[in-house]
Amino acid sequence: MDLKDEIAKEKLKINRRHFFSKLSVGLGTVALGSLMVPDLLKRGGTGLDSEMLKAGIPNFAPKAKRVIYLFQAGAPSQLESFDYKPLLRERMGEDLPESIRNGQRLTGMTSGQDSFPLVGSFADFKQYGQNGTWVSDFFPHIGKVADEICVVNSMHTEAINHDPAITFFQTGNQISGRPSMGSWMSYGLGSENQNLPAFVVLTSRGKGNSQGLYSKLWSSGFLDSKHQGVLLRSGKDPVLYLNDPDGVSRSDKRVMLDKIADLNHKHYDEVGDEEIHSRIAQYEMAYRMQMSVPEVMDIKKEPESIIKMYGAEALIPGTYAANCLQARRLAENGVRFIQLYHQGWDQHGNLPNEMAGQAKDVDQASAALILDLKQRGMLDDTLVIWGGEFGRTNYCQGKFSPDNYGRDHHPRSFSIWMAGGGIKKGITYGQTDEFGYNIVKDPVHINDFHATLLHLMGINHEQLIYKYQGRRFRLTDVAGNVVSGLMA
Amino acid sequence: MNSNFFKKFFEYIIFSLAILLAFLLIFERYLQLPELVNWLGHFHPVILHFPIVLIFVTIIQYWRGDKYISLYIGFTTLFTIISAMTGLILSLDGGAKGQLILTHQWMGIGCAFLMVCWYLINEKPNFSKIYIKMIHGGLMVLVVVTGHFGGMITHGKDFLTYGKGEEKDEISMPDDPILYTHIVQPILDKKCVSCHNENKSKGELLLTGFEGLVKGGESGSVINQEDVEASELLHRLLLPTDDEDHMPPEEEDQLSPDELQVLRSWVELGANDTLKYSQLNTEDPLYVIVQSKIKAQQTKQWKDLPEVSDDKIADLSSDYCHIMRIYNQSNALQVLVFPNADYSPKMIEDLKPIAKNIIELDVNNLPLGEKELKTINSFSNIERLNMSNTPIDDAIFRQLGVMEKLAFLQVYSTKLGEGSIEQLLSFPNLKELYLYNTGISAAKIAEMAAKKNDLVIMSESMEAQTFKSVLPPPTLAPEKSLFRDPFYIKLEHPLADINFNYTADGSDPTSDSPLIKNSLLIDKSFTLKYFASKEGWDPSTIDSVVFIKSSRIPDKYTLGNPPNSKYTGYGKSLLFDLKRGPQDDLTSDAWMAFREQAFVLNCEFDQGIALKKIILSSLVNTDPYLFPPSSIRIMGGNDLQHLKLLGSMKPKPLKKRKRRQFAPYTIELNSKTPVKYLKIVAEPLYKIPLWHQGKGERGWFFIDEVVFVE
Repeated sequence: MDLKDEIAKEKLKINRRHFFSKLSVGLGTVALGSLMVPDLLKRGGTGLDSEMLKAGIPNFAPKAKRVIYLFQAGAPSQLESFDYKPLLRERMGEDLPESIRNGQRLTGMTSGQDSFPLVGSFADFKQYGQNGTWVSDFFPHIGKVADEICVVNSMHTEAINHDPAITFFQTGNQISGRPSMGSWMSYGLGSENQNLPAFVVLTSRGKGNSQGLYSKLWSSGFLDSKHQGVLLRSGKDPVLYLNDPDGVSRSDKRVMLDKIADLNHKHYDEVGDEEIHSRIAQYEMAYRMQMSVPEVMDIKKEPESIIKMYGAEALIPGTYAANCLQARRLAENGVRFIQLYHQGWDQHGNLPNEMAGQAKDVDQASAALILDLKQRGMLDDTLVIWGGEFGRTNYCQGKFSPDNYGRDHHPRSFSIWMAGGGIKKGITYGQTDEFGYNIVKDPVHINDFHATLLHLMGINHEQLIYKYQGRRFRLTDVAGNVVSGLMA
Repeated sequence: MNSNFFKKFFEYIIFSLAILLAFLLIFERYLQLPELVNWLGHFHPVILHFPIVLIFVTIIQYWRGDKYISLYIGFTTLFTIISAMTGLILSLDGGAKGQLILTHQWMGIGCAFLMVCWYLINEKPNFSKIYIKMIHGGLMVLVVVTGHFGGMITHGKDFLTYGKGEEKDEISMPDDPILYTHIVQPILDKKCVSCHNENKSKGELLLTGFEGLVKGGESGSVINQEDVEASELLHRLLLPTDDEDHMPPEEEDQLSPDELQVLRSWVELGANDTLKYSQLNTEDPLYVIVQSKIKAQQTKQWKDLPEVSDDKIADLSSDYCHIMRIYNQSNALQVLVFPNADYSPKMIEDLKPIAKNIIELDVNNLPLGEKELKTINSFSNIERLNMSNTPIDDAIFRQLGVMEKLAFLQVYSTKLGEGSIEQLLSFPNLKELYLYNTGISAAKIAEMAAKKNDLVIMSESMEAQTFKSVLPPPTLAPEKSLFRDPFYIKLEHPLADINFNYTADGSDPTSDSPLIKNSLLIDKSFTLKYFASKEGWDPSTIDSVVFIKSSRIPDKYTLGNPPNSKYTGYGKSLLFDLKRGPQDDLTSDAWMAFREQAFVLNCEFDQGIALKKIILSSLVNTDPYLFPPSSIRIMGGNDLQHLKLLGSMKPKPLKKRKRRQFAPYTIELNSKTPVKYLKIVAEPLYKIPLWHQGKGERGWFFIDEVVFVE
């Protein structure tokens, strides 16, 4: 039996008798429910639908209107970037005390190792800005904008391998299938610009050891597919199959779309599947994107001073610098959630070399993005986030030498930074022990991070709900606390 | 007998209950009631409704002459007494009684008393009807008033006051609120005072004011400075919700985590009623919470905006005009207009119906003119305005006039010049101004800032100017390194005004090396080295390209073996077309490939030819098994049957993975005498080395060009 039959039958199932018999059960249930859950029928109480956010409008005046997420895929080492641990250099080569590791599970890559020699950062650290934020020499430009950013050294996650960890970060769950952060935002706040997707993804890859990126990371999961992230590619066709084939004019296309929409509406009347409406809407958006995307993606209009700021790599499509510049242009054009991924941060070995290269890819452009947003007055309502999916161990993986070593995955603590959009400026939040292994102050779990993110966007994370398969889902699911210490 | 029995029965019950009630009233303050009796008190809210109705019904039935009237009166009296008794018991349970409860109590007792009187009088038919009338009047008044006071006790004093419910939390918040008055007490008012007030002070605790907090309840002070968490106030709040002693009781509205944090911090900070927000440490969680409340207060200034309906918003919205409420249920709107082919100033004029509601307007990137700015001037509530990346200049900007409420203005990347300075400074509420990439100089901006010191002006980021950048290397056009006829190349660069220094002798160029002006003639084989430089940039790295002049094409040539049938290219002439195969497309018809059989090329020249070298242009990529050939041999001579070996090479075997890369194999020839025939043989790799997944198999040999150099 195919789906169509099934749906047709479903419609026939409701006749007068069914209606009344169901109604009686329904009313009984409501009555019982109102007895057992006193607030069930109370307006604006802790009820069910009343709690769901009216899609497209924030609960309260937001501090951030959009997010630019500079995701560093592969997990950059916090110990060579923002979490300064001089002790590791002093005790270079000594074994990690078991009292510190305290039973932390290991990945298959180091579980066979019989010693865990501590290894200090290859890069030196300096203090920057008014509050003396520690930043490693790998990131001199980010150091220069230290007064704008808030470094969080106390992030922690539950996952220990890339795929579950990155999926956790993006969707709030280690197992794929839930909607991505950007999709939740699109669902909660809608799109500002109807001619561009609300959620855009840009990818780039460094020379370091990298891990796969899959489109599931920007999938809309069970949300309407119009909330899905759209991957903009570098080069001639930013969106595949967006341009009309040769010989098809724009007016022909219009006629075609109108006819297709007619057919789709008919189909909808027959089967009543909501996804059909999404499909129609997406055809229309694609039609408008034919004009708007090339316009936005064309960086030729950018003055030379801007290129110089982001670095000349910004001229080369597909680089991190070009994507940062692109991100600013998209933000200027009303895109809510701009997700960049830069691959190549998985330094199990050869860390000093590879990380220097990776840092060079992202350092200047990330700092330039902050300054560029600032000089345009966009930083205070754009939230910029920089970070990977977990941290790296304070001990060496594989053969140990002070100038060539590797670090394994470390979920217990890692660093990210955020800037703009209601985030405190120039502070360092949270603290790890002197081994850089465990968090000793103000831990921030991924769920807390998500809750805070939504809060800054004007959404109560407990109210951004979608009902699916008989239960209510949130980005933070059943956890998450807004971290008020991060917010200005 | 039966009716008599009932009569007696009623009489005794009513009599004994009346005595009991009197007893309770007299010895109220000495009584310690057992739990069970206390529990009976909880039935008061249920039972009280019976006498209210019964009293009225009984009075009506009396005047209609109901024959069972004595039964009515008996029942009513019974319920009135029970109701009064349960009420009394309930009131004993809750600590000190407030004025409201006392009034209610005595009125309830009054009702019971009047009912008993009526019951007694009714037994004596010769009593004057005037007394009955008086009792009825008294009962009706008392029932209404008692009920009203009872309602006030349970639902709050102003429950029946019209239109007051909503405004309760509207205590206006000053810029620097006193923590106790503006933050702490409102929480107590909202979540605690309904049970801890003058009328109903459970546990003898009053939470209506600061004195009550200090005084505490029956178990003493509720604030403990030594051990903050042990303070009764916090201790009760922090207990798990299902604990008996948890406050507020499980079924009541609970405190939010923020509210809990407020109370805890306030107690930690000394629980006094003078501490102000400005005295808080910014790290204190309380600071953040209070700050957000102050901000929430500020957004209330949008409360007076005219109502705007969802329909109207939907009406005015379009694909290119996005209108949204700044937050849920607010009439403050954010409007974004996007560029489109059909744009006209009317798009802005169309917003007039919501002119007063627009708080944020973003018209960046639009071809704005005077008309639009005039219209925008009538949007008098705008606080944030973005007109960046538009063609506005001083003359157009003048039409904007003075925007009274404008606090945040973005006009970066416009033609705005010094003619607008005065106007910009005249906006009374302007706090932030973005002038990046306009005609207003840094010096003028400094002057402006000096004139209006609460105004933050942003222009070119100074930090950003310290950022240095390395120029990307130029690209060559046409992209061709093999040639037969002379041609010109050009160096191209994404940036303008670039200098290209070059050398042709293999040495590294410097800034003193010659410049390529427009184009460079390539007419011989040589190595070109070049770099790009530009004022303010770090010069690019040095790039090089080897140009090779291919001297001849054989007059006749044949392939000894056909190429693999999957990669035949467009035929053997691809070997001499001077076109390179693309690196990323092996199926391109510019490539041909060999695997099982060797690449063998037989050439014939009409005139003998003396060659210096031969170059085979190939590709290596170990992932798809493209390896260097095992060997290359060149044979030649003037007699086809007796060719001599003129040169050979064995490319170095690969020891590890190699990614996609062009691999030209140059074979130097050691013969100086001209030859008519040449045979080129390249054997694909026999056995892929052990480190590769295809170990033992044959490798592929891809070739796109053969170059003869004389």
